[in-house]
Order: sequence, then structure tokens, then C-alpha cells
Amino acid sequence: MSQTRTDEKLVEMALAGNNDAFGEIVRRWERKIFALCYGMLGREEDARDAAQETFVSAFRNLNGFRGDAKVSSWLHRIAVNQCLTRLRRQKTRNESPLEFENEDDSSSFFAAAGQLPSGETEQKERIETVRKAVGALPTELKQVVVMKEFEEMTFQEISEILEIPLSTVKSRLYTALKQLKKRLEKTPLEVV
Amino acid sequence: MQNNNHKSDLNCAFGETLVAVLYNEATEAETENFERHLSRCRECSEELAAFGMLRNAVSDWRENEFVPLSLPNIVLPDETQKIEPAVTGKHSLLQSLRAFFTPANFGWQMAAAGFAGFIILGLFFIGSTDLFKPDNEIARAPSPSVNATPEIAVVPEVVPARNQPTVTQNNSSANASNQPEEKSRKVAARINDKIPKHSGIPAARNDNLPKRRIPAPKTERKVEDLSILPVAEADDNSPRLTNLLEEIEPSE
Repeated sequence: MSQTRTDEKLVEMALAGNNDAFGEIVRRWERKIFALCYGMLGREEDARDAAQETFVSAFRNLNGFRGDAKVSSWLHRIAVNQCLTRLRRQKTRNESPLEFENEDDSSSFFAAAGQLPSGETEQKERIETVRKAVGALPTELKQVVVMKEFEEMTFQEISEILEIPLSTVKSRLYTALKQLKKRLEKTPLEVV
Repeated sequence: MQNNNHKSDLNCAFGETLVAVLYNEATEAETENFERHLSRCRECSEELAAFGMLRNAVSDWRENEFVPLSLPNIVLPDETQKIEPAVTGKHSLLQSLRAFFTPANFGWQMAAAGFAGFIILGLFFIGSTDLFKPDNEIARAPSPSVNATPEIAVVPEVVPARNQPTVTQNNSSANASNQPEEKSRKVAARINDKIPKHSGIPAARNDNLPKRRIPAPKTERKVEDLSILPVAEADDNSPRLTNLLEEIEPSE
């Protein structure tokens, strides 16, 4: 399949009966959709299931795809909805792995992060703290952080996929980072 | 508006530029302008340093936990592997038949099966009724004939109630020369004779039948002599009351 074909052209080909065309769309976007699901959910297995369901849902609703939106925007919307559905289920079952515990302590995240060198256990602890803090963000802020950090998209790409202005992307990211900073300043970090 | 809320969090006008510089997406002019601002704004300098540490922490998370993961094996379900073409072209007969019997077209199969069942039931219904028989079958159907031998039907005798006019059968007199009817009339008369007639209830009248005198039922009760036994009873060896009395009192 030629790389020069746009996603929209591939969808058109898939609708015309070309079964390989949708496979090409999957190959193009599975890494980014998986990254988005991983950043949103924080668990590998949940992310795999959400990515799988995203592409299956897109394939089943291919006839309902509107040409006025980009395929990438459409896939991201489906993926975010899949993640939100799973997060709601986790919350119902009290299984939220990204629950952020806000406790006051003198040994904050930033204080520990400044100490060098950090051991493996401390690094895991920091990662776990960051994961919980990102998971506690509001959905629209979390989505921008994950798209920037995990999908490694530019502001322009995020703007096009989310169909929001470029300045809105930047302001959301700035707000997200400020909220993360505020949460992590109060987070205790066990230094081994 | 959510966007305005986000913008309200900005402490100074350099928030968006700070993010652009942080992610190396600021233009040269923006970068120079922001560096000049940093020399005057302590808050932005501290924020830039803190955001840098956050980026490193998130990057560590990504590098250590996400990057080593393999890609998910996306498997599309079998029933959706075949996408029906939106624009259908010309198909051969074989392709059309194959398309008809694919599971995706199961609705048409069900409709066709239901229609065929309806047709079969309709044919059964038509075949089971005389209403729709063809004309030649109607012509061959047996019709009543004048010369044909009539079947003898057993007609129960009608016993009219008292003071009601007697039912008469005039057909017999009209066809007096008809032998089977006369025969049946005689049979009916014999049956009539054998049936006892109660007094006061007139029997069915038949003028053509010979008059017969019906003996009146005897009302007097016979007093039977029990001592006289029929001859046939002489050979009866069963014990009798008289014999028993004789055995008990032989001397008398």
C-alpha cells in the first residue's frame, strides 16, 4: 500500500471493498492510539484492550465516518471515549489505579527529584507518582499531556486532531503542567 | 468557556510562550523575547525549571514503561473482515449467488424462506378446498340422477305429539309404481307393527298401509298357580322347598 495515500483515501478504499486499506490505517495509527490509551489509563493490559476496541469500533462504524473530519481526529475521539468508559468502570469497581493521594509532607516530589543520583527503586517511585498525578488530571488536560509526551505530537498536530486552536493547545498544556506541579509539590516521596 | 478558564490560570502573558520554549516549538523571535522576560520574571524562571523536571519525570515514565512494550496485536472480528462495497459494480451470476448466501445477507435469505413457506401453505390451502377445483373435476363429480337407484335411508319414525297434525308422506303415493320404495314402505310398516303403541298416542299414519288391528293391552293380572310347574322342570334336580319339607317331616 502506498504511503502517499491519505487516511481519508484509505477509508474510501475500505468502503469500496478493499480490505487491506483499513489494515493500512491500523498500521499507521496503532502505535499512537496505543500510546494515547496507555497514557490515559496507565495500565498496559487496559491500554491494549482499549486500542483493540478502538480499531474494531472504527471498522464497524466505517460507513458512519463523515468526510468533513480527519481520520486521525475520528480515531482519537473513539480512543478517548473507550478510555473514559474504562475509567468509569474502574471507578465503579473501586479499581482506580491512578488515584492521586494528596498528602502534605516536607519531602516533596521536586525535592527528591533534585537529589542525585537516584536509585532504581526511587525512580520507580517517581514514575508511579507521576503516573498517578497525570491520571488525576481532567480528561481534556490529560489528553493534551499524553498526546504531547507519549504520542510525541507537535502542537499543530494536536490542534488538528482535537480540532481546537493552536493557542488553546498551549494554554491547556500550560494549565496541565501547573496542576501537575501543584499536586506533586505536596506529594510525599519515599526515598530509599 | 473551558479555554478561557485555562487562560485565566496564566499569571503573566508568557504562559503559552513558556510552553512553546519548553517543548522547543517556539520561533526564534519568541525565544529571544522570552529570554529577555526571564531575566526580569523570577516566577517564570522557577516555573520553567519545575516544568522541565516534570517533563523529565514523564519522559522517564514513557521511556521505562511504555517504550519497551510491544505493539498491540489488533485483531478485527471475522464478521467485519469483509466490508461490503459501498458502490456495487456488475456481478456475474456466481458472484450474485455467493453474495446472496453470505451471512451478511441473511436477512434476504430469511425473507425469501418466509415467502416460499407462505406460497407452499397457500398451495396446500387451495388443494384442500373444493372451491378452487378445476372445471373438469366438477364435471366428473357425481350428480343426482332420476333413474339411479335411490339409497335406502333409515328414517326414524316421527311420533307426533298429541293434538298435533299427523305428518304424512305423500311421496309414496306419487311413486306407487316404484318397487324399491314400496319395499321400503313395507319394511317400515312391519317395523311399525312390532313397536308397541301406547293408548292415546296415535301412531304415524300411512294411508297406503293395510289397516291392522292393534290388540289392546291386557290390564287384568293373571294369578299364576305356583304348584304347576312346566314339564321341562321335571328334570330339574335343583333342591325344591317341597322336597325339603318332605325330608324334614317324613312321618307326616
